[in-house]
Amino acid sequence: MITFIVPDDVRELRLRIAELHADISELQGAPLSDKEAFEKARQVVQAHAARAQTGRILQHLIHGSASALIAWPYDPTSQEGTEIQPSAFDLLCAIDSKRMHELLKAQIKDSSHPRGVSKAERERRLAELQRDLRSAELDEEAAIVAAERAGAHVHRRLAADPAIILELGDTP
Amino acid sequence: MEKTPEKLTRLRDLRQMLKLHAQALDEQIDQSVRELENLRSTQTDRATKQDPALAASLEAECATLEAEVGDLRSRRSQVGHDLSKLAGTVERLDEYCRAHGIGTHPRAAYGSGLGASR
Repeated sequence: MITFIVPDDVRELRLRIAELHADISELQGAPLSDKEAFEKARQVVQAHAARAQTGRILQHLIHGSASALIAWPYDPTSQEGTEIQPSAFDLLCAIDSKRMHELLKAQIKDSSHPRGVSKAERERRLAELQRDLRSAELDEEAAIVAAERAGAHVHRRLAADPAIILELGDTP
Repeated sequence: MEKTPEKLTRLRDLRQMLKLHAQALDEQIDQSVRELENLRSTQTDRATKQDPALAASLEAECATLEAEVGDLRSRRSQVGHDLSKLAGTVERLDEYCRAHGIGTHPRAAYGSGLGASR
C-alpha cells in the first residue's frame, strides 16, 4: 500500500510559504507613493492628449469649412455610425498638458487615500520577501526528502519550483 | 545533455507503481463485485429461501462482501487521487527538463519500448 502523508514540518513550511505569497501579493498591489502617482499622472496626461486628435481640430480651424462642427472619423465597428470624438478630458490634456498635470498632482496631494512606501523601499521589501520565500521552499523540499528517506511519500505542491524539487543547483 | 535527475526517475517509478496498484485494486473490485452478484443470485434460489439458516448465512456473507467492496472502492479513489497528483508533478518536472534540455524525454522512450508510462 502506497500512502502519501503531509509531515508536520512540511505542513508548517507550507503555511509559511502561503503567508509569504500573500505578503508578496499585498506588496505588489499596494498603493503607490506620491512620487510614483505624480509620474503616473504625467503618463495619463500624455496618453489622453494623444487621443485628442489635435491635428484634426487645427485642420478644421485653419481651413475653410461650411460647418462650425468638427468632422470626427466614424467608428467602423459601430452600426449606428458613431463618431470617434475625444473626450473633454482628452482635449484638456492635449490643450494644456502642464496645467492638467499640475491639477492632477494637486488632487493627489490633497487626497486622503492611503499612500504606499517609496518604489525603492517596495523593491527592497519585495526582494527580501522573495529571498525568504525561496529559503522556505528549499526547506520544504529538504523536509520532503527527509521524509522520503524515512520511507514516507509526500506530494509536492502544485506551485513548487521544479528547479528546487530537482535540486538542480541555482540555489543560494 | 545532462542526465535525467535521479529524483525525477524515482518519481516516475513511483507513478508506475501507483498505476499498478490502481490496476490491482480495479481487478480486486471486479472480482468482489462478481462474487457479490453470485451470492445474491444464490440468495434468490428457491432452495435457499426455504432454508432460513442458509439464507441468514448468505445475508451475512453479502454484508461482509459489500463492506469489502466499499472499502476497496474508497482505497481506489484515494489511489486515483494520489496518482493524479503525482502525475501532475511528474509532468511538470518533465516539462521543465524538456525546456532546459535535461535528460531523456519520456515520449522519446515510447517508440523504443523502454516502458515509459502514459
